[in-house]
Amino acid sequence: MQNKMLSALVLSTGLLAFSGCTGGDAGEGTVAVNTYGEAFIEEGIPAEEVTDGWAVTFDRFEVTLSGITIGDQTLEGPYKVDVSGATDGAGHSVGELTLPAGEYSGQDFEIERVELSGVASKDGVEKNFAWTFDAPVHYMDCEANTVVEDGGNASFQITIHADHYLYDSLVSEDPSLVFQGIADADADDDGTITKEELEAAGIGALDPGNEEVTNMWQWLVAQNATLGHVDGEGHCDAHTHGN
Amino acid sequence: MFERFPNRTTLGVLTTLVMMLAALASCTDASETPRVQLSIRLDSSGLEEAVTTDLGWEVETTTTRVVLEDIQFTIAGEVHTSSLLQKTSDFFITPAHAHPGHYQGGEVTGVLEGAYLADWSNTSEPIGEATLLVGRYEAVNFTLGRGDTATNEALTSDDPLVGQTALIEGIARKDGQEIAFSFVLGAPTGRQIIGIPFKAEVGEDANGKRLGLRFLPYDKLEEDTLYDALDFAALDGDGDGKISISESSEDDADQDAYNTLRRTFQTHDHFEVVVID
Repeated sequence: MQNKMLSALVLSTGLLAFSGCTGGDAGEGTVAVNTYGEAFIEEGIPAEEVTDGWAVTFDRFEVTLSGITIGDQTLEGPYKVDVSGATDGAGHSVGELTLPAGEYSGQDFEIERVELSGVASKDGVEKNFAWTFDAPVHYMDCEANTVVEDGGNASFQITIHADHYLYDSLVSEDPSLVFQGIADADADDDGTITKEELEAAGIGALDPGNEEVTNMWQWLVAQNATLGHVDGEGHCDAHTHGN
Repeated sequence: MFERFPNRTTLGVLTTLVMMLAALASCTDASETPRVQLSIRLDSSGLEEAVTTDLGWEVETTTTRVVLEDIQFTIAGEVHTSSLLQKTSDFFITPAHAHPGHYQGGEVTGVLEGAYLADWSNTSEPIGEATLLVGRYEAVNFTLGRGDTATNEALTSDDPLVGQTALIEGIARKDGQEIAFSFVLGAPTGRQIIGIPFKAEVGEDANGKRLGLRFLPYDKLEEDTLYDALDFAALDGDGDGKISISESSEDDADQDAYNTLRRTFQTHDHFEVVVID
C-alpha cells in the first residue's frame, strides 16, 4: 500500500516536473501587427521640444520591416511602409499572425532600411534633408507582452521614434533634442543638408559614449540603430549589420 | 543508513521521487553566492611615462583629478541563480532590456556607492571598500559627478573642480616648444563610463585584497592617446606657453578642443581596474 502511494506521488510529481512551463492546448488567436511613427513623424517635432529651437517635419519616412517574429511565427516581409501619413494614432497595418493562446514576449524584427525626407526650420531659415539609412538593424528580445486569447485578436506595434535622430547623446537615459549641429553641417548654405556634408562635419559637443563616432553622418547612423521600439515605449536589444 | 528503507523497491521509488523533485526545482537554486570586501585604490602607474600623440606632441600628465560616484562591478552575461536575485536584491541591479544603443556591459554584482574625488597624484589612501559577489568579472562602470564642497571634504570653495568633473593638467612638448595646459571638464548629469576593463576571477579568498583604478593617457589596445587631435600650439593663441580651457571657453578652437578631449575622456578606453594583490 505504501509503495502504491509512493508510486502515485512519483507519477504526479513527474508529470508536474515534465510539464515544465508550457500550457496545454488552449486554442489560438490572431495578432495584428502594425507600425506607427507617432506624432513626431506624422505631425513633426515641434520647436518647443527641441532645445535649440528647430522644428522638424517629415514628408516621407519609409521603413522596410522584415522578420517580425512572435513566438514561433514570423512575418517574413520585407514590408515597406511610409509612416509619415496621418493615422490618428492607429498606425499602419503590416500583417497578421496566428498563434496558440498564451502570453508572448521577446519579439524580434528587423528594420532593413529607412528612407526619409523633410525640412527643419527656425527663425525663417529652412534646411531640407533626404537621407537613406540602409544598414539593417536587428531588434531582438523586445519587452512587449502580447496576450493571445482563444479566438481573440491581439495587436503588436513596431513603434518608430524619429526624435532619436536629434538626441544629443548615445548613452544618456535622458538626452536632449538638438538640431543645430545637423543644420551647421550645411557647409555650402544652400538649404539642403547632404550626406557628404554630414560626413565632413564634426559632432561637436554630442556624446557618443564608447562608440567610434567622429562625424555627423556616423552620428545619425548610430542613432538610426535606436529607432525601433515595441508597443510604444517597449525596448529591445539591437544590433546593426554592416555600416 | 538504509535500515529505514526495508526493501529495494521503496528505495528506488524514493530515489526517483528525489530526482523528480530536483527536476521540478531546476529553475531555482537555494545556494547563496558569497560576498567579499575589496579595497579600491588609485593606481598611477599609467601616468609614469609621457605619451606621444598622433600630432607628434609628447605629453606628460601632471594632474588628474576626477569627481566620480557609485562604482559598479559587472560580470558577463546572465546570472542563472534565481535565489541570488532575491537574496542580493539590495544591490544586485538587474538591467531591464536596454534602450537600443544605450546599453553596454553585463550584470552589476558589485558596488562601491558614494561620491569620491579621485586624485591620481595622491594615491596613498584607498577610495573605499567595495562589496562584490564572487564571480568572474569583466568590467567596471562609474558615474562622473560634479564637485560639491557639501559632499566632498577634499574640495575647498576655490577648487576648480567645484561644479566640474575633471581637472587634467600637464606639459606638451614638440620641436622645442613647451606648453603647459589645464583642462577643466564637465560631464553631463548622470553620465556613466561603462565597460572599463576589469578581467578578474574574484573568489571567496579575495576578501581584503586590493583593486587599483588606473588612468591611462595611452590606450594600448587602440594605440592612441587621450590627447590625440589636439594641436597645443594652435590653442596657445597668445604664445605665452600656457593653455587653459574649460566648458566656458568661448573661442571656437578652444571649444573644439574641449569637446574633443571630453569625448575621449568619457570613454572606457583610458581607464582600467586591476587586482593589485
